[in-house]
Amino acid sequence: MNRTVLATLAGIVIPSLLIVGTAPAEGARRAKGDPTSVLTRNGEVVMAARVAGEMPTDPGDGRFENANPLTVRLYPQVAAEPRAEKGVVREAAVRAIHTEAWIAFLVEWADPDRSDVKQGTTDTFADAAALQFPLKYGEAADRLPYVGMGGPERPVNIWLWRNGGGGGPASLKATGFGTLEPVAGGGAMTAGKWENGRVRVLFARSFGASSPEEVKFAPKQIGLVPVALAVWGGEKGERGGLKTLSGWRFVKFDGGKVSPAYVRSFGWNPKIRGDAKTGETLMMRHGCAGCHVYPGNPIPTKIGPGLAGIGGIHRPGYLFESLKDPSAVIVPHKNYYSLKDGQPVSIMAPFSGPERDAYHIVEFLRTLK
Amino acid sequence: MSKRQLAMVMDLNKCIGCQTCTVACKVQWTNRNGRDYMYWNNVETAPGKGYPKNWQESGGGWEGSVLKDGKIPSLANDYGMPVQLNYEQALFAGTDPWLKATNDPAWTPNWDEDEGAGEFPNSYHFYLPRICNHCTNPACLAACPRGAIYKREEDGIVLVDQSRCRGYRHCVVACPYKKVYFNPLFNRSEKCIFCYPRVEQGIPPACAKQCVGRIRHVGFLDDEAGPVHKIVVKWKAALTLRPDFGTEPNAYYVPPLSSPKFDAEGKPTAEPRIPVAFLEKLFGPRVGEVLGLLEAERSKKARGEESELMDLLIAYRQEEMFKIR
Ligand code: HEC
Repeated sequence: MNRTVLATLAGIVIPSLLIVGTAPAEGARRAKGDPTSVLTRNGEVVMAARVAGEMPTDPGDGRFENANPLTVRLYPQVAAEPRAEKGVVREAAVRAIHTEAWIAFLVEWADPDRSDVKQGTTDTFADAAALQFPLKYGEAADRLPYVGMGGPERPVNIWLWRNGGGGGPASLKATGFGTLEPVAGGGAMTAGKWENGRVRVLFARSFGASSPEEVKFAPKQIGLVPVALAVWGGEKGERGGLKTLSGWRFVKFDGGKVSPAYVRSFGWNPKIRGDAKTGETLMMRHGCAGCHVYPGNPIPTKIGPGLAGIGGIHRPGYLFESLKDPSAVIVPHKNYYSLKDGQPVSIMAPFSGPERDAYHIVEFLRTLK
Repeated sequence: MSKRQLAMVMDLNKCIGCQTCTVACKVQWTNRNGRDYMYWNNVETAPGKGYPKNWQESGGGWEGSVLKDGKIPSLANDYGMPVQLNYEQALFAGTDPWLKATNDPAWTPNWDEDEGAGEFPNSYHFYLPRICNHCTNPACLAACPRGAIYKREEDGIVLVDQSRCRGYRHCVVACPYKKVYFNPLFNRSEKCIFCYPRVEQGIPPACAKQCVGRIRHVGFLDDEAGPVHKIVVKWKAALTLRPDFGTEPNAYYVPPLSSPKFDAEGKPTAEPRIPVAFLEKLFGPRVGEVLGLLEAERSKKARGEESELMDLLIAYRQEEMFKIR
């Protein structure tokens, strides 16, 4: 997000708004302390536990007992067609373990109706889960990729598990909705298990990647890796864009290096907080309701992405930027932009109302989760 | 919309339901590798439930500019598991005296063959051959979130890019004709390709070339010298199937005339055996007009007068039914 704009805004005193002292950008400010502590406090960090031995091959691997699970909320994908109006799996627990050489994740969720691809059927879909990583992360990457499948110039690497296999290689790449493709020569270990109404899925890979299109891990250089999660409830017909997803979360390695500038690049809260109720009314007044579906909006319009769950998926900084400068990150879908001098321009106009209204609106968007 | 459109006209007055087209297609494209159940070309009995079962009620297509929701047919219930025979036991090992099916399908292509509708002596049916319509406004193409379906500029053939398809089946849902099939073996969707590798060499699609009844004409809609332009554009004698689905098909049908209905005394009446209302549901409101035209041109020919339309439909020379360059 545009830091100069924010810094300037933070200095303006707008009486009707609440100026929050330390809450928002503190991770960035407190250079002396651990810059990740604010992420931990927000419940966004999966702490990777150090273990020994070979890479696990079984979701039941006992070494995962050493890792604390992070509960991750999942929201129906409504940013692009086809939209997951309901969303089956709404919460999953993520654990991570590692050695010097490899990292493994265990993703677990409750699922009373197991669904695998039944051999030789045309109308069944498999349960599935995926982890998504930015191909590039760290201080050099100025920001996180768009969490829904990445975006142009910010590719993501996706590890996919499908119950019953099928669907090709487990390592994929994407640069936006509809761009998913297998990584040639890539790979990640995946294995799933369904037991006592719970699905447990293992994802594992060595730190080094077999393809330049795959994420690498080097905890000594960068001890914090962004990761996002998506889950498909196959029995309810979820596949492709019909899924639930999380916002960006972070795997942390003990003792790994994390610079404050890197944490700052995740996009922080605007310093000023508005009033959600006022924001909701303003959504109507400023015409947002004419393009976006969200709870409480009676207009069934799908010109722009759905906003249900947006407060859970995106950071307030991103939301603020989406208003002020929609073309900075265009939700990567063909319906959402036009080309102007060869450059993609969002069909949403930048917010032109009073500054304080933007804060109120962001405050309202934050409640959509 | 593509620059040009290759189209097919099928004359339902000549189709005898022999399935030579079906076999030609199957042998060429779908007799293996998860395609056993697929009929890129099928010939069903109308009235009837068709293939897959009740496809006309399976949803999909357009409502204005919005895609209508639909269902994905199930292999077991709507397509029907392909029948497997006990060749080994009956013919080779000799352990079973009878050659018979080893599974008990709930549906197959032609499950309701020749059933039709109506009471004797006014019962009626006709054959309805169906391929992918290579629509001008394809719902399958619009429904694919990956842009894996495309319509070729040069001939309007609609294809599923097998390297882009990830088997999500939104196209199967969206196609109101249920002419996109999911291949469970490869986890991809597949469909009639209008035999484009043949077409590119100037050879008509297998279903058309092999048709013993000479019911299928193939040509560009804008080629005034071609048979399709003459029948569809010049004579306006062919109609599309279920135009209300909104996809603007490019497979056309010459609607079937029928013998007169009998009255209670067994005397023929002026009413056709196949109810016009039924045909209107299938082919839209112009059915009556086209049947009238066919009748008029047919009687001209019967009187020994000239009729270009009848000559086209009779197809004295098979080569003249195809103009695909
Ligand atoms: C003309 C239709 C239109 C209007 C009016 C409109 N938007 Fe948008 N909006 C879009 C489109 C299209 C996108 C996706 C492209 C992009 O990211 O800019 C979008 C994107 C967004 C996003 C990011 C969504 C995501 O999933 O990342 C937010 C947040 C948003 N709009 C909020 C608003 C608010 C708040 C208003 C009212 C001030 C508004 N929009 C008015 C069309 C519109």
